[in-house]
Amino acid sequence: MNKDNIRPQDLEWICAKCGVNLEPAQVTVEYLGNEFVAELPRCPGCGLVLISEELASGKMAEVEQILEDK
Amino acid sequence: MAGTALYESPLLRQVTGPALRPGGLALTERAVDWCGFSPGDRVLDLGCGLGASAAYMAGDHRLKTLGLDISTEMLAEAALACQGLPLVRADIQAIPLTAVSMDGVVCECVLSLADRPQAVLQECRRVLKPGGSLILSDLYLRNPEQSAPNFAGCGCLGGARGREEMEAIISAAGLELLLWEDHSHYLRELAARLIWEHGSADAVWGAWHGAECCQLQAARIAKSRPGYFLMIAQRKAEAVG
Repeated sequence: MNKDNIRPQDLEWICAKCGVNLEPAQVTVEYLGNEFVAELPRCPGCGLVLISEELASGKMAEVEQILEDK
Repeated sequence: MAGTALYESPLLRQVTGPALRPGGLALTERAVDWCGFSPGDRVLDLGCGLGASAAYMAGDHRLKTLGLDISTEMLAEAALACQGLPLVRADIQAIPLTAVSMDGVVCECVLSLADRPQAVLQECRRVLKPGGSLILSDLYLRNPEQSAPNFAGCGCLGGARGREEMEAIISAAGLELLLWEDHSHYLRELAARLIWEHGSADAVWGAWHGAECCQLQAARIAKSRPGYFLMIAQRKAEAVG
């Protein structure tokens, strides 16, 4: 499992719905039938997961491109 | 530059486990089922690495398997992980077995690493019984005309060929092609997992081969559209003697 997806500032986010800080949690991300497990910031109340712009436009985008065979 | 072979890299093992190749044991199972081996059939795992396929075939299919690899280190690990599995250290281009002795040969993501793949295939044919099956899975180039003259230092990618060339060297070795399947989705999945675990394609490529060759080689490789195939060929019965 990849544990390098959380920056210290990601855990400063507060869930607007639950009013609590996000916490590191093991999350399964699925794309085109492939599952990837990672530790990501998640709200302990409602389960909302924060995906940073860096992660979304970085390796997540690379993974999507590979899986789409582009 | 010459890099560490990917199959020896912790980068790969972290993602694939002991199978060390795209598709893992799922593709081995597909091939073994297709061949219809009977319990007790003798099958050689050529380039067995950590012995995952040989152990799987011995356990789940009750085949008499033998693992062969050139790497002392990998064989030592295989001996520990797969106790009781017969193992031999040898060059896949000079198989130390008598002719016409095997019902099957499995060669998974290994042929592309060989200096002389034709010699490997001729050895496969030699040790196979008439009607015996060669299971071959490996990288191939779906756009071979776009490949660079060679991908020096790219390990298995350096030996990847186009489908037509693969079929030609199979035929030239006296083997009859029975099945060709594209399983490039397994290669995409493996590449995606490597990127996921290691942060970026550049990070994977850099750890494998050194950062200085990343961009150029990655661009060349992308143009050649690497894929992954499963091929099953048979030693022709009429080729005996």
